[in-house]
Amino acid sequence: MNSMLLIGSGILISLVIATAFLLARKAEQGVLAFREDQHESFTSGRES
Amino acid sequence: MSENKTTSDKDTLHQFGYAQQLLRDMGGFSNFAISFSIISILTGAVTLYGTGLQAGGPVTMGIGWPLVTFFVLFIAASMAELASAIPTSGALYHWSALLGGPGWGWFTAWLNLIGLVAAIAGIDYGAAQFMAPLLGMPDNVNSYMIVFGGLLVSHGILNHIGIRTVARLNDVSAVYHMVGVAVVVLALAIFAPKQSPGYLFTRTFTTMTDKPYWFAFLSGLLQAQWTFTGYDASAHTIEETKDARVKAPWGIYLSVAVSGLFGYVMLALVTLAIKDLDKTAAAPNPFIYIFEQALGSVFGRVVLWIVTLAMWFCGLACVTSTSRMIFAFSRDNGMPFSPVWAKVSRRFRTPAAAVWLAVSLSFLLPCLILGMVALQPKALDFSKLYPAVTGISTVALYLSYGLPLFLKVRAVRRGVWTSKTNGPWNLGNWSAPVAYVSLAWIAFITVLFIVPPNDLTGYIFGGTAVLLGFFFLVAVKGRFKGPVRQANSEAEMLRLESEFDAVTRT
Repeated sequence: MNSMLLIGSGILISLVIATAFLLARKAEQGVLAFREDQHESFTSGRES
Repeated sequence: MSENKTTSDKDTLHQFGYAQQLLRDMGGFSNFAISFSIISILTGAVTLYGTGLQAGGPVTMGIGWPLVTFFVLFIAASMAELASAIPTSGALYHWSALLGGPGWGWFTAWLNLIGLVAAIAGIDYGAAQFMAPLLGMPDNVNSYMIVFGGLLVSHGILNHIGIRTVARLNDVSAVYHMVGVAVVVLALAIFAPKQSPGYLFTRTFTTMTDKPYWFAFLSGLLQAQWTFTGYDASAHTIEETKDARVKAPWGIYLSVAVSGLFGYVMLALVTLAIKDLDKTAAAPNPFIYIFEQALGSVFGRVVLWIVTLAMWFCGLACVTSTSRMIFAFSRDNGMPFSPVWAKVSRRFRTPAAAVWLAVSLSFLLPCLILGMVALQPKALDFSKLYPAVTGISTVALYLSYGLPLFLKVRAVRRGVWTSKTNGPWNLGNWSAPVAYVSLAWIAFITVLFIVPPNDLTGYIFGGTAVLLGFFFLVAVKGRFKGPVRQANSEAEMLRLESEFDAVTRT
């Protein structure tokens, strides 16, 4: 039980670090690829 | 370069119908600092350390903290995307109103406001509990309320006189938090006797004997989850941030990521320094007790001062965030007496009336609770009300984070929101799965924190929700129109801004 908890904790911590890094990298790619001329502001999405 | 960015920020704001009334003077670090200061690992993780330890023992710190960090990263990333696409101070409220209509916006705004006011009350009242004995005052509720009032007034004054001062203080706060954690961690690492690292991941413990351990462990996640609130501040101050569509989203995301890392290192070292788990869990403040046991009472007092000052910084940033939210909602006539709260001080270019409303509401909340306890002394226990207030804050804030995410997912499915609408900070094709994970976690914690043993939170929150629903049906539905354009032409917008610019220059 204890060894399973230790392994699980190791996986969890690795997962957190990897997620933090990957999400940041994906967002950075979005910033670099952003084209102002192809952007449309979301000013009218109302339904009521 | 910066002039171009400022102009671009202004143009973006104009597209959403708002003039640049607030002073845009914050850089990327200041924007990060305000959210990092509100998350304040030295506040949330410390004041609720006992709650977490009593619920699930060391495993709450070893496994619970990274578990919550994992899911909050998803929520922060989803929120950051929306902030980048719709960079206005109303933030969550404004996103919901644009995506779903005025009714959704109204509920989001009130949930956000309730959560923020409860957060200020929780932070500053917690600080007062620490500070009163340190100042030599009697350790009772009267002393706490006097110190609590003093703390709120100091936050009100600083927020009134300007974003420059507050932003600098938040910069100091961010560094202070990192240095504070480093001091705590180094002292424990060098001088304290330590348990083996496995203790963090395998040592289970709970005082909740009537519940299965797994449930007790989950209840203890309130500690981490409450700590990870308030990072919407980067979005609320977006109209005061330069290069807002990029810097503010990074502020949201990085404040969570950096807090997750620093918080974990601190909690791990503190928990490994526990000598006697039963006695620690039973102590009035287990966090301070650990220091006193491991490093002596003098260092325990030093840590108490470090934590108390961190709480003051946290409360300061929280008042900033709440006032901007009130200002933005009032600007669109969403609050009773909106024209009063929407006023911007021409001298300081801050939403001064909204600042003092935030401070006053935060003071009234503990007064209301004290009144309830006085009326029902047998049925209500004041000591249980602190976790209840933090629970209300957590649930209300996360529901206000979840509503616009849900509406965005719905808008994407309906084709109303396309990739062209994304701001620069976006996750591309990861956006939808990340939002789904975020929504699932928000739904899970909302249920978790209102069922027994958190039923007091459930009752208070449920009562508030019923009142809100009633008020909406009677007085708001059909009357509240959502976001209102301040001007209909660019010339009118520039005239509005020139009035403020002229005063600022003089």
